[in-house]
Amino acid sequence: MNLILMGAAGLGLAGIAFATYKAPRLTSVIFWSLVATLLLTSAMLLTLPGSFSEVALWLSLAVPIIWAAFQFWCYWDANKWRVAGGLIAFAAIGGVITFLIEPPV
Amino acid sequence: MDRARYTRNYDLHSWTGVTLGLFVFVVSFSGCIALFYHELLAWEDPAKRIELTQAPAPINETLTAWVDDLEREGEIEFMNISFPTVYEPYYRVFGHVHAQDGSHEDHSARWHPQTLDLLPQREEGMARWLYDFHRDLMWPAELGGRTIGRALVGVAGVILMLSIITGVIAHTKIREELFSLRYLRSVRLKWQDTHKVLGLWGLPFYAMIAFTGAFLGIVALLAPITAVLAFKGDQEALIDAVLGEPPAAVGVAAPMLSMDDIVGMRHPGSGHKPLYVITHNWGDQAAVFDVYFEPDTELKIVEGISISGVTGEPVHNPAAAVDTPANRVIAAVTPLHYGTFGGIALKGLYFVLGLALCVITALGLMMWIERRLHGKEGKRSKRFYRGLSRLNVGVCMGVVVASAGLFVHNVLYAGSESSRLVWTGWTYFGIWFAAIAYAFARKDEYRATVELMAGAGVTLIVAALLNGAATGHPIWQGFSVDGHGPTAWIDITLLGLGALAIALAALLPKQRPEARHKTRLTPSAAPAE
Repeated sequence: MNLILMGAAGLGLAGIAFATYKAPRLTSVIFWSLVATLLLTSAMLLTLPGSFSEVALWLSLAVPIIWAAFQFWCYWDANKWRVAGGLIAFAAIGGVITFLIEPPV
Repeated sequence: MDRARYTRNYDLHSWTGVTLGLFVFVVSFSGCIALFYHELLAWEDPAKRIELTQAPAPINETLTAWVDDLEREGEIEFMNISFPTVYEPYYRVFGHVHAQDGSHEDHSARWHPQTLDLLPQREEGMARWLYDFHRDLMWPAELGGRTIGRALVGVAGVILMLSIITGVIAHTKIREELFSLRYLRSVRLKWQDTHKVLGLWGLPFYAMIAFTGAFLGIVALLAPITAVLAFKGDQEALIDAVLGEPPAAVGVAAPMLSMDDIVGMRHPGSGHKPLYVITHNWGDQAAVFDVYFEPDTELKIVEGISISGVTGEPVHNPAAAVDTPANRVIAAVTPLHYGTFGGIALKGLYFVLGLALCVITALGLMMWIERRLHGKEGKRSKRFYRGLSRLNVGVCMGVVVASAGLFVHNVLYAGSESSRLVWTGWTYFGIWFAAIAYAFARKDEYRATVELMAGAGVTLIVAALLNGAATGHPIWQGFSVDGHGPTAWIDITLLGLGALAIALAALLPKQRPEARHKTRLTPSAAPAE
């Protein structure tokens, strides 16, 4: 990978890490809720049983609800670190599943 | 609910409204106009004022000659051939060509339904701008294109969903608040009650419009992201996996089925007439025509079947929509969002509720600013909050005046057809920015609001009168001449809304009631408002 791209990605990650440390709730509502939604949806798309196209269509309907629910959770939960940690964990689990399972071709 | 949780929920409600409230206002207001896209198309284009004939002239010979010419330009990837309908009472064809130099070109033509005379080309303008500004903000290609704009509009839907959820939770006395309108108390209380009453009574509608809007916007972004994540970047593989692969040509030339035979077809289930056809592999033995009919339910835009382009026999086309539960639900999203399932009266109701959503959003912002301008909340200077207040007025009223201005621009535009959409955009943003500048220069948000409202009213009336004069189709002709009905209704609506805006501006007090009250008590200490 291009060094400049790697540097930019590293800088971005450091920025997100710092923002999460300084304002976990705000960073979660803006950033981690979206990342967790996308990765979790992708993982569900690859793992849920049934016709692939049917699952894809139902999940596309579910995405706005999942995203709004995650955002709502960010301010509902009393513990700001549980929110950030939970969303990062969802994103990590979704990410691992997504990158391990081959798409149906 | 404990106090800390209530405060967090209320903070989320406030901050979603404050940071993205203006954006939600713009998307909601443009959506109110986008509801009438087809009616506006008929209003802006005099060629659409043709009587809808029940027995249009045979089109096949004319169409085949046009396609022969088109084939000289390159390989036809697909064509969309529309038959006369109420909103487009003529034949129309659109062809997408892969030219020999590798470029892609679009070609189109339209013919009179009876004489088959070629109708003058009319490029997209006001209606397309107003419709697409709601759908994708007309996001420029240089900044990522329409997909980005569409996703941003989807984000507005998610923010609205979040505002609705947090708003409902913030209101612990919903039953009392449903009927609480204290109009004789302070201005801030009046705004607060109106915000709550309008929000609570329209709640099911706002929830539906937020969810369907979020879906329609986000789904555009979801495909490329899912392709990157789950399909390792192969978006075509994702599309094929969800929709199926399109039919492939076999390279053997064959005569095509006559379009006149298709005009005479009826849907095997509903018996409805065909609306349009999308052709694949034109001129090939493996040509497939997707024929779309009026649906058997209003919660669908169209209903399609695939037939062989050579024999007319039904064929299996995996790329055509299959009737599954998920497809049915997704097909219902657009009719639900745009209110196309219940006629013009339902669109009118959507329009009123959509405007109410704009009022709720604007009032929410005004209350937030007001508490900081005249209350103890907020850490910034009064000047900062005054600036925010003027920006609020300029953006909200500016989008109203700019939309009204496009009607006049559409009638007066004298440039080339190819530049119509570009000039429409410049006019829209020009008027909008002028309104924002006016709100700042006026130094009185209340008067600026009233005057911009009056300006929008005058513009709407001028547009209706100019349209009658420029097209030679005065309003009163609309109900006696076939094909002019939708146009006449738009003219009457413009006149009605214009008169209402002018009347409201005239009837409202000369200055903000609370400021007037304070002036009477202490003339020397009159506030800046």
